[in-house]
Amino acid sequence: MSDEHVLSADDISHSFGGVEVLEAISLSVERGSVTALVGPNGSGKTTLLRVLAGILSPTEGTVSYHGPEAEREIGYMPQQPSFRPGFTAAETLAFYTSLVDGDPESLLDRVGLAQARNRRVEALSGGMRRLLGIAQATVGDPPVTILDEPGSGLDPGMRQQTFEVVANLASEGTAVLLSTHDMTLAAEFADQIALIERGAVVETGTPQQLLDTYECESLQTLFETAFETDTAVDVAGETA
Amino acid sequence: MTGIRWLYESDLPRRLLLALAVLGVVVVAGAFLADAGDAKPEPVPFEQATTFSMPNEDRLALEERGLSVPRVEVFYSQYNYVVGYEGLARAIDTLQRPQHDQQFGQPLAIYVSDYAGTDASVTEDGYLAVESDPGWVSADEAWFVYNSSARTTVSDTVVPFSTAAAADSFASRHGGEVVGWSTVKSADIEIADATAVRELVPELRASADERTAAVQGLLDRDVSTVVGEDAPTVQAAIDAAPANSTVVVPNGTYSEHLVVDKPLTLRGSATIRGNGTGTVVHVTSDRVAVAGLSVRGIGDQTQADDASGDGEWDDVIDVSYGHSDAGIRVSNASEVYVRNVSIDTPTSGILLRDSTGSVVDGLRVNGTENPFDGFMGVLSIRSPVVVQNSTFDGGRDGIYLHRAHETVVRNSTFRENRFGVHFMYTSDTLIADNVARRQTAAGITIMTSPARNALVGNDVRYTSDGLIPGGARTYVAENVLAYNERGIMAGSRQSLYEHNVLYGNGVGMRAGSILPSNVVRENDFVANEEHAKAGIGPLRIWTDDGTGNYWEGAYGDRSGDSLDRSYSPTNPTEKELHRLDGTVTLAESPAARALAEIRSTSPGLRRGSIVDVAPRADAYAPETIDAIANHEESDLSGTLSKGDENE
Amino acid sequence: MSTRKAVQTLVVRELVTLARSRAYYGLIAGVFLVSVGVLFAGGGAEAGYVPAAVDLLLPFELLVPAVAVALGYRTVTDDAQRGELDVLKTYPVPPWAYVLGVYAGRALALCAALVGPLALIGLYLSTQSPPDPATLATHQGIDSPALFVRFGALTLVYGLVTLALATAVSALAWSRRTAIVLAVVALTVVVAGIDLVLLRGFGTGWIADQQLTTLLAASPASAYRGLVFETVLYAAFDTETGYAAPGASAIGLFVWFALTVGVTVAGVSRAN
Repeated sequence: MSDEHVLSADDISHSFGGVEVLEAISLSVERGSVTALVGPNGSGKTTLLRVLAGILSPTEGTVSYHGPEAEREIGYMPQQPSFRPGFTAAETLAFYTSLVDGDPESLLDRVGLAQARNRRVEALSGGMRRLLGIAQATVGDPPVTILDEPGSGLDPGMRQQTFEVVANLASEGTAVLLSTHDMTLAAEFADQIALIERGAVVETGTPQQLLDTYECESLQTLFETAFETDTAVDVAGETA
Repeated sequence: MTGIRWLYESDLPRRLLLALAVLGVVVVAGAFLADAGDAKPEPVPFEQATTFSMPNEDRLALEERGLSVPRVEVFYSQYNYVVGYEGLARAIDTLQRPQHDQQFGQPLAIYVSDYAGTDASVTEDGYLAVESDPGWVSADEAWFVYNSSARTTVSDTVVPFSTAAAADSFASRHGGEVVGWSTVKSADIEIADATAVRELVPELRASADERTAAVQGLLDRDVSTVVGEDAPTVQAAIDAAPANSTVVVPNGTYSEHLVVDKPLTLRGSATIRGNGTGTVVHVTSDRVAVAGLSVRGIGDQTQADDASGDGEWDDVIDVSYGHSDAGIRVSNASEVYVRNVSIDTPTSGILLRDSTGSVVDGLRVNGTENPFDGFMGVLSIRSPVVVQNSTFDGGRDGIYLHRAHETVVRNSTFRENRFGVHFMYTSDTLIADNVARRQTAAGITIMTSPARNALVGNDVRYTSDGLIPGGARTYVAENVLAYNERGIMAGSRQSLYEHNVLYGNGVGMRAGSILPSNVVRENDFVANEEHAKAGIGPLRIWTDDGTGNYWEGAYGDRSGDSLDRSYSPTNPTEKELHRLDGTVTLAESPAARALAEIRSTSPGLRRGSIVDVAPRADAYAPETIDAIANHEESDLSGTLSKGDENE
Repeated sequence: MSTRKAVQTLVVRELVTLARSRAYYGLIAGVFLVSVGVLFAGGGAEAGYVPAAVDLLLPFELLVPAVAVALGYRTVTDDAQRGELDVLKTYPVPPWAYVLGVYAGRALALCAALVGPLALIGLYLSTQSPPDPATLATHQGIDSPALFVRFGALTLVYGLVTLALATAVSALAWSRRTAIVLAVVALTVVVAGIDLVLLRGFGTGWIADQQLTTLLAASPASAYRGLVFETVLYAAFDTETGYAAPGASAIGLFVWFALTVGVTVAGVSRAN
């Protein structure tokens, strides 16, 4: 993995209705790596991801893309993706691939949905819908893929599978940025973890660096130490 | 999968759509750019046009003499039939009527007769004579000679020409000025319509009174001869009596056939019985009176074997109808007075031929039980007659009129005939205050398109059709039509129907003619199964200058004398308003009201529709309606008791 | 992929969505039934093209906007609620292209729903001949299929304008319930409200006589009605004019269209 920063945010702030949701956040992701945003509910993870994806404009600061030129530079999957009913998984992907380029079949293969390709999206399970969402986020091979909580609400098996797909993406050179509650999987798959609480980055680093910084030996203690609030974080894979 | 993906990515759908869009745009552009008003239709043979025409009798007479009446053909934008008019005055008068556009739409093309090159001239009595038949010219390109000496039977005529030169030439010989269509079509045209007939009714009544008065004196003649005393037989008495005297026939039955060939009065309560063949009493002299007698034993031949015509156009009718056996036959004799005579006849009661000024008063005719076995109670051939206070039971027709213009029939009763009064080629006649019951065909029928007849104040019930007023400019007013299958079969044109009460009929009034030209106002439609019906043709508007009719069942808020909501007797919902509950609710639905709006605004388009845009809030003759309702079963006697009906 | 292809994709998706929806076919059937019902109740079907147009005009004035709203009122709302709009922001599809694609797709569906029944009716009318006793001459009058085509075209234009309005509503509404409420309000304003204002103004005198035909163009319903009167019902007559200023009416309709499309694009572009 090279050291290129593909996407970086400098001092991003975002206010909404007088409330400051993000406070002077700086962050960058490198190509071919997985960056995980970890934090309790309401910490601003979704907002930060949307700002980085270019869907939301920050009230202060800039987001810069340094990656290669592409038709689609940043792919995005929202929390709990929902698709227009009445279409099969393959047809849904075909819609997106027609907008840029790509082959729906191989995208389905990549996320492991090949056998569900002719199933209507209404008939997909939550996990499969999540996988389809990830597939959508990778349509057009964007250099950056942003996924909002790709694992939440899934059973541990599906969650594992999801993260493995994410890791594969990264190994193919995509910069993946995701948010999660699952500290274990984050530690296992992420190259970089950013701890976020109440709109600000508390700490950034590799999993090992974080354990060292907080002088913790387990992830559980890391969480209790790092965050002031003791809510909404999941250590052993249970939903908060 | 390839399906949708192919749609997403292939060029073909996009190109197809584009091609379709281009095609659509081209078609639409074509539709907008095409001049919708371009194709101007060509004139059609006049017989094929639906015409406002003159009385048949008039036209036949003119054709016989080689005379010509200018014709008009109008092609309307919203009316499929080609409309023809005989006489420009008639055309212009109709085009000027206020509701005309609403019923027919705008005229697309108007053609008028072209008299250029026909050697047109005006005869002594003012008709147009031609050497060859006129062609057609478009009205806006024609030249019109206005106010010349030419006329038709109804008005001064305007004569059209396709060239100014021909028009000028005609005008220089026969007077008048040459004008264009725009002047002519807004000209003040004097043309008699049915309101003129309304004015004539009192004149006709007065004329009947005068004619009656004129023969009254015949009953005052001195008695000269008494049968049985001064002469053995009635005929002997007639032969012996001096002119202008009275022959008295004492009671008894006299088996004779009589010929009265001098002015005499025959009076008595006797019965003259014929031998069952031929006519019993034949009057050939003017100023003969027959009073009080009964006549029986009349022959059963309705036609004479040796009859022939005199070369006129109505010979066929004359021969078939005009030589029936009769109780009394008046031939070429005027001012004959038949009073209080009773006739039992298998054929005709009284036959009048070419008699003027005759009066029939208090006649009682007993005809056959089956109408088709009998003939006419009073049969008038070219004889204007006054018939009053008489009753006609059975037989075929009560009174049959052929070219008997200015006849007056009043205060008489007709029961169980085929037709009570049967008009053929007869105009300017008044039928007033009669009662008709149980005719198999109709109470009064007017056939063969005569003009200016008036049916006033008659009471017709229990017939198949109450009145069938044909012809033009017929005035139908103040009649009571109750419990008939159809009250009025309105086949007439340019006629006026007012103040009639239509009560309890199967169909109150049926509009028959294809061209709506009648005025129907202030009639009361009550308790009919269907108030009114119409055949094919454009919308009929039965409102005259803001005055409509009274319809039981119509509703709305009162606005002056009218209701503020129009009423259509042919609308499926509205026609049931007086019979079914719940129809008001349905009629008030937005859909129904919207349809009503559409209906009353667009011209000439609806099959068999009638609308009254200002229905009357009150009935015209409420006491009459009450009287009918209360006397439902009583009036089989047919006696006219005006006191009961409180008109 | 070019924006042109993106628009095609969006158009196709809308069409396929509707083609797979039973409600859409119900809508077409509804339009057809109402049209046929009105024609036979009013008697215009037997009388010709122009009488049929007369019969259809009033119900269509209400029906067409209703159909347009039914087709368009939650187009953008649904996509927004589902997060689709957010996702699409990551694709090279500018907001105007999205609006164009979505609108065009629904517009084609509207076309089918309106033109389909009208075309069937037109076909039926072409087989009709008026009742005619054999001996009497008839002529076609001013009735011609071209006039019915004009009526169909004007109806479609009216539908497209109201569809644009409905789509604008869907872009501004933030929930499905809001969308339907806004749509009904917009519909009422378009169909009745403006005319009521004009009626009041004309009645109380602050609209001068000469201004009326121009101001009528401000109401899409009146512009439609006026154009139908002017170009279909009274097409051939020089004397029968003044039902509408055709130029102003056309411009009025176009302005409504442009405005509502602009509002839609703005609504889609704004950051949430």
